[in-house]
Formats: sequence, structure tokens, C-alpha cells
Amino acid sequence: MLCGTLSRNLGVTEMPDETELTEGDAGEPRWDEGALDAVSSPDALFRALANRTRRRVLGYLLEREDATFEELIDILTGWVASEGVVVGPDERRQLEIRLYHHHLPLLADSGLVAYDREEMEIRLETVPDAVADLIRFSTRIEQPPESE
Amino acid sequence: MSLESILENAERHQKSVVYYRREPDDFGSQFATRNVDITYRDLPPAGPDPFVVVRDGERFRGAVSADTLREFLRPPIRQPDDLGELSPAYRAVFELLDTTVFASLHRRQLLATSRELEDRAWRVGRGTFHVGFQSVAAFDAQRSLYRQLAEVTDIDIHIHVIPEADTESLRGLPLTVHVEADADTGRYWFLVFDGDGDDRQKCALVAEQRGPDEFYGTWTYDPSLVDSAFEAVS
Repeated sequence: MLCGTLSRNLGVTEMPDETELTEGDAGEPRWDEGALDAVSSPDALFRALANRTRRRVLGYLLEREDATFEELIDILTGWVASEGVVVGPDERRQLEIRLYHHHLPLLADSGLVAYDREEMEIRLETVPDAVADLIRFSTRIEQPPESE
Repeated sequence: MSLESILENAERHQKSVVYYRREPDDFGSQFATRNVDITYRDLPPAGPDPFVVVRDGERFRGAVSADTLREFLRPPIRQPDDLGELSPAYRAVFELLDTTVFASLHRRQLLATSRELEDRAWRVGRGTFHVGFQSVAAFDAQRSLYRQLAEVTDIDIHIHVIPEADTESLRGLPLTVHVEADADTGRYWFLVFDGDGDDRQKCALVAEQRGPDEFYGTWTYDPSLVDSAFEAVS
């Protein structure tokens, strides 16, 4: 029933993103020479994939190759809406801030994504098939939240 | 000002809707083309389920999944009977779609919207509330609810009915019955609440019957639209 599906929480929740809090570059493992040129390191790759929002962005870019910032925000908003809530202007603003100031810089650092700050266009770098498979896998295993 | 002109005014409040979809369907036919500008975008397989983004001009108003919207526009038969039962989230869909003119609103949806407006009036407990019943049956179904509203609250209730309605049972209640023979009362489903002068509480529903179970109409929380609807019915 509608009231039931809508009465779930209204907030935009996200798992705490602890992966980038403590690590430095110093001891990070590197790829074997030439193995995965686009990606800066295994840690950077898995750091990029360690967050649901970034997996959604990567999954979308993998199929579209590029997207505008507005388009990505719409898609992220749609993911939240798919949980049965109405996403209002405040929640959307939060998503914008997180994407712009946090997720996109981190994705750019990983080497998976390039973006033009002026034009606000976001592009997936050429990624090896193995990485594309990994992105697909990471979006596929994500199940929609269970009904309460 | 007539009820028809309220709908014309609402049509001038331009909305833009982006429908992110998997495959073409009849989504667009629900809206009045003059009021709602619909853009269609195709979702990739790895994207979220189909959803809808609503904007007033450039301003983002909200996003809702296509499933939630569909269920909202075609609600289950059973409606909450008691006032005060609507969840805030359910109300959010009303606010998201306010002043959107729908080409084909279902009777059950109008019942749900009416309940939302009655619930608002109930919570304010004062002010002036006009409600029109198109048929004897429609009036009979809501009679006890309006008796309760009249008995418990200080709302100045005005009930507009067609001459055939039996208003005997309302005799002695603190509400005003307007028996109207003019065609508007039979044609329009309407509720208008002045929010007791508080702009944030004003609301109105105006829907013209176009088929046995189909209405062309809108609900609105826009104070100026509600004010003009108020003029039209008082």
C-alpha cells in the first residue's frame, strides 16, 4: 500500500565513507607495469568502488560514457526515489554537494573518471575490460533495500 | 470568476517533468499538455527504476519513482477513513504535484485528495471550507465525515449540493447548505479551504468530470489560486 511504502525514512542516508580518512599514498601498492594504466592503484580502484553513490555513478557512466552534472544528479535522485520516498530540494542539494566536493574528486583521483569543472561534464576514462566487469559486478550485487 | 477559469489559471503555472523510463508507455497522457512540459529520457539497464523529476520552471521541486506516482494516481480502493491518518510522506506527493493539471484523474485519486484537504482543514480547525457534491451518492458517502467536521471544529462549512440531495439529516448542524441548480455543481468536484487566512494552509481541489470515472483537474496550495477559487464558490 502506498502509505506503507512512503512511510519509510525520508532522509538521504549513505554509509559512512571511512576509506579515504586515514590512508596516505606512501605505502600503497602499485600495479604491475602497464597492467591497468587508467587506474592509479588497486587501493584507488577499490576506494572508488567502496561507496554506493560512486558505484552508481560508475555504473551509469559505463553505459553512457559521459554525462552532465545535472544528469548524474537526476540519476542519483532517481536511485533515492526508487526507495519509495519523495526526494525534495534539500535532499537533492545534499547529493549535489557530496557529488561535487567529494565523490567526483575522489573518482578523478582514481583515474577512472575525468571531468571538466567549467562545463560540468563527466566522462569515464577508457577502462580495461577487467575493471568494467568489476564495476558491473559491483552495481549488480547491490540489492534494493528490503521492505520493512 | 468561475471554476473553469480556476483550471485555466492553473494551466498557466508551467511545470516541467522529466520522465526517466525504460520503455515507452502512456505516462504523458495523464497530464494536461498546456500545463506540463514532459521530457523523456531513456534509462540504461544499470540505472534506477523509472522515476519522475518535477520542476517549476528551473526550480527543482522533487523526484518520485514511477511506481509510487502510479500508485498515488490510482490508489487502492480502500482509503483511510479517519482524518489525521495521512503520513507526512504521502502528503509530500501532494505537494510535489500541486497545481499540476491532470487530464485524467481517477475518482479514487480525487477521494484521496479530498481526504488530504479535509485533513488539513481538520488540523487547522477554523476558517471557511466550501465543498461541492456532484451527486446524491457522493454526498451520502461523505455526510458523516462532514457532520463530524461541523460538530468538532469551528470551521465555517458550506456544502453545495444538487437539488436532489437529501439534506434533512444536516438540519440543526452548524453548517450551511447551498442547494444549487446551476450546472457547475453537477459538473465539478471541488473543495476550497481558506486556511483561516493563513496562506500556508490554503488549499483547493477543482476537477471537471469528463467521463464516468475521469476528471480533468488540479489541486493547489498556491494562495492566490485558492483565493480566486474561493471567490468562485462563495
